[in-house]
Amino acid sequence: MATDIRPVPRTFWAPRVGEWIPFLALNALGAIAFLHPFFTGAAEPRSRWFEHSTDAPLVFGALAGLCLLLVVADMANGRLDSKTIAGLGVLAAMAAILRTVTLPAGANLFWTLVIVGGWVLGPRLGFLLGTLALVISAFITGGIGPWMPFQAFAAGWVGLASGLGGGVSRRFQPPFRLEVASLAAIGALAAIFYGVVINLWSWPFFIGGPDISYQPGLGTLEALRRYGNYYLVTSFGWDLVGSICNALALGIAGGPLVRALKRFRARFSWQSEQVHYG
Amino acid sequence: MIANLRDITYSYPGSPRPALSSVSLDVREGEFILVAGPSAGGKSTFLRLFNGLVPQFHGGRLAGSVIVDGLDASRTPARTMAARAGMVFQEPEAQGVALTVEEDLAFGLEQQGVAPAIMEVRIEHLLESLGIARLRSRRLATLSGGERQRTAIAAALALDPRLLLCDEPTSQLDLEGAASVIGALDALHQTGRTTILVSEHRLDRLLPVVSSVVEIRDGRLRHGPPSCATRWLEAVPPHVELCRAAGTTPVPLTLEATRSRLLALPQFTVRPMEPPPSPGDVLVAAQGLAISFGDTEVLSDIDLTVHAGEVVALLGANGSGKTTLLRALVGLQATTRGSVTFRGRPAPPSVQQRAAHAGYVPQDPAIALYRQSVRDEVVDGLRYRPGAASVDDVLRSWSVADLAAANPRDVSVGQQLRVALTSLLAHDPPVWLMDEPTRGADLSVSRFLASRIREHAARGGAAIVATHDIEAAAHFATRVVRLNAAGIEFDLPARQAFGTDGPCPTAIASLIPGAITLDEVAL
Amino acid sequence: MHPGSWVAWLALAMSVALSTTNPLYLVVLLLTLSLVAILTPRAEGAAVGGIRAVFLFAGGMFLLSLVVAVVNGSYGDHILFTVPGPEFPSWMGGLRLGGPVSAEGLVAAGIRGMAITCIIVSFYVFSSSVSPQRLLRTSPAALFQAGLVLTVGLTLVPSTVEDLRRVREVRALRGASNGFRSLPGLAVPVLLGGLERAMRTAEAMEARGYAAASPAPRVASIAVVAAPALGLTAATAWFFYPEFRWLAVLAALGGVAAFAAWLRAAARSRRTTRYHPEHIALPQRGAAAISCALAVTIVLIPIPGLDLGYNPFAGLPWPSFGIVALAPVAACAWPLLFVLSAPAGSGRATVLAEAPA
Repeated sequence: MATDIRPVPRTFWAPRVGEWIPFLALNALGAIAFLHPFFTGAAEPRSRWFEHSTDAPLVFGALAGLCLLLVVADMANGRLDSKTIAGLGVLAAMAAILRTVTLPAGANLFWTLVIVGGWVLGPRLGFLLGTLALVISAFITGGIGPWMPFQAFAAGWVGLASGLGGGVSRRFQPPFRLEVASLAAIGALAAIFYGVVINLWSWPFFIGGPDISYQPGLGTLEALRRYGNYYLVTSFGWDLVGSICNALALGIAGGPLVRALKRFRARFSWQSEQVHYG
Repeated sequence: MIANLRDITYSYPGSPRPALSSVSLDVREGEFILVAGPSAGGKSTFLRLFNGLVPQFHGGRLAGSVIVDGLDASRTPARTMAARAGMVFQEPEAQGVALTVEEDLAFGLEQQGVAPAIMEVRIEHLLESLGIARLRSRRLATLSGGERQRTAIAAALALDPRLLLCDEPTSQLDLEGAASVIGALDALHQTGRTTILVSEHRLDRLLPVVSSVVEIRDGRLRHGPPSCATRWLEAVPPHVELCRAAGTTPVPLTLEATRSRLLALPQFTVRPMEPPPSPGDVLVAAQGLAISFGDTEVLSDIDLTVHAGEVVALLGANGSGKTTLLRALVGLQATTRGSVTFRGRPAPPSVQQRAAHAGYVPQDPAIALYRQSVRDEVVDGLRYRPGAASVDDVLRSWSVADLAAANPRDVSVGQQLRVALTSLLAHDPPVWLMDEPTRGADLSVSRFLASRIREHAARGGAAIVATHDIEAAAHFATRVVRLNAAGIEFDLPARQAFGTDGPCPTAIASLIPGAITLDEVAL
Repeated sequence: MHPGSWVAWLALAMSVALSTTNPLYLVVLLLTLSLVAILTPRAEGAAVGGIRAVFLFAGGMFLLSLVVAVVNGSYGDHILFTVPGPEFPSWMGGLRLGGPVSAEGLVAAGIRGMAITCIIVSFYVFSSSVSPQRLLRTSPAALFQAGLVLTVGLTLVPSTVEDLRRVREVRALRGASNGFRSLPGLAVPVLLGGLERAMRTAEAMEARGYAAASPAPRVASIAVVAAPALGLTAATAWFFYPEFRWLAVLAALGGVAAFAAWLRAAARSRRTTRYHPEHIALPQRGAAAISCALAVTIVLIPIPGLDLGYNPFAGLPWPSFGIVALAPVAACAWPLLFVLSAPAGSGRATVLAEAPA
């Protein structure tokens, strides 16, 4: 009698449709919670807007946090085997540490690792990697705060997007250079995207003029215009530098990292259920 | 019978050659089995059969049957097997799954859903019986290697398994840590409740305490009681090898027993190795070196001068500053006082420049390997050193030419160490500084290293090798320096230091006056 | 104090900070929170910098909120001065930089800045008194596996930091410099070494009986989506459609029920136990419940006679000050009851010694 355990596509990599539904739904609900300023009406009388303008953001922020907690817990429950847990744990720890190691020009390799991880591990693990890396980073630097759901969701979405990109690339098998170039492009976009998302948390709290300030019940277009201005004034310059550094770092280290991680992925891919006896 | 292997043949996924072939063994209740054999010979694979990690975790193809405590280990889920066979791994850092000692012990119990009240009692008992009760709320990261391995043994015993598997539990530890771990295992054996299988390549401490020996070599198994096994084991402690050469039966297992038997043996002739050539120019020197970590001074007023042709074995207990001294010489450690000179001139400030003259090989040098092939790794090592030797010459001189195309992460541990040494010393600096290069290495690797170091010294180079292993050091050192808290304790020629009346005699020297290694003894 | 109690306190502190726009009350709140910050002992393993760093960060955020008000002129009639600055064309969003700066705008920005300062200080208290691993260990069973990834990650942090340092050194020994170009030589070996160690950790977990459990039952999958969906419905109805507040209440209750159902169902798929389970003592439980209820009330329901508000744009009047309104602000000090009555020792002395530095 012989037991042969072969590499097989694991259920976690290609989950059933039923597992995608909660994942996508919770992500969508989280996004709605963040974006509420853009599609809700005014309830309080305009004259008293200042006094209660942060009530709704506070409650919606808490709901975003709840969505984050639920999506991570739901993905993890039952399905993570020891290899995935340890692999994700170490990648997240590594990204969190790299976030504290500053390279020239204030850049760091946090995004490099999240994007490369997502690219190779797929959208769902990419999402988990992004969120958990951010949470670990908050734990080790003491950076816990109301901004955490925003940061973790944004990081998760970057990992998710990169995972989708990686999936496309696996299907079409482009030349490696093109793969690295797309990684660099994702990195460049990620810095801006992350900045846009995390500034949503602070927007309601800063009082400027009628061109940038949040007010409940502005209507979608006006809210977008004001938020755009707010982002431009407070963060765009900073994020642009980050964006360039991300692209550079991924252009230089992305290729070798992807190759190393792909080699390792083969080691992830046996599962004990697939035992053949003969 | 607690476990039984029948005709096991196993190959790792994608590997054409079986890692184990036709292995059979019966393990009786209460046995203490030593699993010996060269590294990469199949010891780890063999142990992992008993708790089903092979093939369930690693994949691959398995033929034959493994029955442990009445269960087929190759098919029983890990959760069930964990309660039958606990395992301790080689690397202390990788096996903790919680942050503190007690939480780590609790992990397995929590997984099985053991009630908290029972858990308390069990953990108390484990902490007591392994002598780690005072460490209970310490974080794993702050423990010494020996403490961590004892914690790992306690964690493996948490579910009260009938079988304990230990995969080279002491190879990453210093002498003191290793002794404490083996003491713990021996005490466990004495209770008679647990059957123990422990793999190891340094046999001197284990041979006297085990009840039977298994050797795995090239995937094949040999088995016998210790007194018998000493006749066919390949890598045995020097005193066993001596008795074996002399034809003593049964071969005594401890140094003491050997000594009492010696009188009955024929007279040995000692042919001392050629004395080392007289030292040449000063290659590296430290004057009045002092180093502090915060407020504590770890080294003070160190004066050390090393000439061409000298190989200095740097001894000292843990924390005596061996590593710190080497790091200071190469510029990785800032000094508070004193100076370092190379060939009489002040050493350059940067690590990059200093390493050109004094190549430093830290512990676990393989950590930085990252290229796709061994060759690229060497090319990378030479890239910043213009004018050095050609890549092929370097590959050949370190006998890694046949590995040139292999991925450095795929080769065996011993080969990896050679590749790492090659990449760090490719530019052939005149001074080699090495930090415990033989730690965890099997006999063939440490022999290779000794011959490379001697060659280097003969060509007019010099080396300073920090080590705990005086048996290995006796093969290459010409001079011995031992550090203690006060500074340099002694600085003697190797023959004097390792000799019978010296401060740290080797096993052979303690048996046969005038010799320090077995090579010098002729029957 | 139990991490759960701290979470309840955090909710209260945040709601009070954001619902209070009266600067006088905010000053009192900030003092109260700072007192809690100074008197609460730091937990072992909590990764926070000194209290000075936190006040510096909070002060920075306060200044930033003033800067935003100055750079982009503000609402209000009492113009103090005018900052020269360009105006962008309307197709670029019509953003005006500089311009007249009003007293009302500055006061409003200052009020918000103080609220942010209060929030930062209260999160500092939270993360200094609850260490990450204690938080993970006391989290509900439904979060077990997500928590396990974090625990493993945190366990591997020290060795990864060590790896990073050692690889850097070996790179230097091989003659490489530390520029952007040497990134792969630094990142790839740390990644590979870390993953190899992770595989060994996974092996150790498996050898100790960890195995993936069966997926959570369908009830859990439905509840996990229903809970936040109902929560969002409730919040939207409550804040933006006042005529449907009854619906908001219903949806909120449904959401809480769904969340509870998820907690139960998800926990059941995996039978594990906890070593040293931590229970919240009854008095603490009461305090936590009261503080949650108070937090919800302050944000959602105006209480007659209790006005924490102040509107600088209504002609910049002098803010009112009443003892009754101070009650919720003072309530934010409740952890001190438990912290100060806890057995002495355990690090409080060191915190007190550090405070004046």
